[in-house]
Amino acid sequence: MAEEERGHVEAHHHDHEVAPENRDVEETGHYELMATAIRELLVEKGVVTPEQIREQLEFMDSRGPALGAEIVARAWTDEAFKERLLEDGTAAVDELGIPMAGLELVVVENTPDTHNMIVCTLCSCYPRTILGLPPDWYKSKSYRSRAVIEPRAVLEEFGTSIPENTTVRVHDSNADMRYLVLPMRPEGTGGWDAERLAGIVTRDCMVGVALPDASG
Amino acid sequence: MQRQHDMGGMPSGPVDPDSPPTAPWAKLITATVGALREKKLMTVDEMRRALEDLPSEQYDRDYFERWAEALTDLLEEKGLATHDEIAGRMDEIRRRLEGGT
Repeated sequence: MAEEERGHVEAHHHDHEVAPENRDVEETGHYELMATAIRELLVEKGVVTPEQIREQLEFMDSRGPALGAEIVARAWTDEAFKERLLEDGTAAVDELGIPMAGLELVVVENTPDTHNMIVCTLCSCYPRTILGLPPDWYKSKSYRSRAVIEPRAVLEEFGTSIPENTTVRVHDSNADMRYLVLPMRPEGTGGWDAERLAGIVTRDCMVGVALPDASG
Repeated sequence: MQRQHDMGGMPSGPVDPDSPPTAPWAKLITATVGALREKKLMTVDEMRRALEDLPSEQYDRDYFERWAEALTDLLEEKGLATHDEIAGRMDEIRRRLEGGT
């Protein structure tokens, strides 16, 4: 739907919003029980095995921003890899042994002219095989709603200011296609090796809500 | 008609950049969905549809609570487990924990 049409749609679904801070502890207990009940039932029925669940948990725990930082640092230090990464993200990260599990990866490069940030307005699609599970704010109604309409205001809430003459481009992910931001390599990191560079590439930099800081 | 999940551009409050770690039960739900997908018993689009079809009071819950609700709906739809079975097992686990048996 076009942005200008949205203002006319009644925001009726906000009426029922349950503010997380208003929920009592009992409700979290409810979902803990639900998760355990589902696992027990599916295992007993032979639908899934405990090993299959464990493998999923282990894979989940093996994913995290360090993988993304490795990709970015490699791109900063290897021009040919960077070209492949921007051309076909899925194939390029596969070279590093990072699977996209059937999804397409699109890597968007920050330049002095363009700053990129990513969102998933429709759900919370996120490059999980690279960055791990998304942070709470990425899944929040506030971020999903506002990132596409007032990205600079959202960036300010993360303490990030983008110069007025730089275009801010927001990429809306979907179930089949995930984005990763390739930040600009900061000034003053000329002599740094890939490992040291990876140390300044945070999750938020790769979502595009922060910039790498080489001053620390 | 604009549906509840299509929230891009809607007015909303400030973003809280804090991000607490994911609870173990939330990881378990995610792993269960992953295992079912791996076994081709469920697709990413079926899960997405189940999420989008949730009643608003469930859709507006925390992300993983929403996932848990959508998963139970899909399990029933696919004949893998009913809501009643899940509720019954939850009671049983609660009794088990309380009784220490």
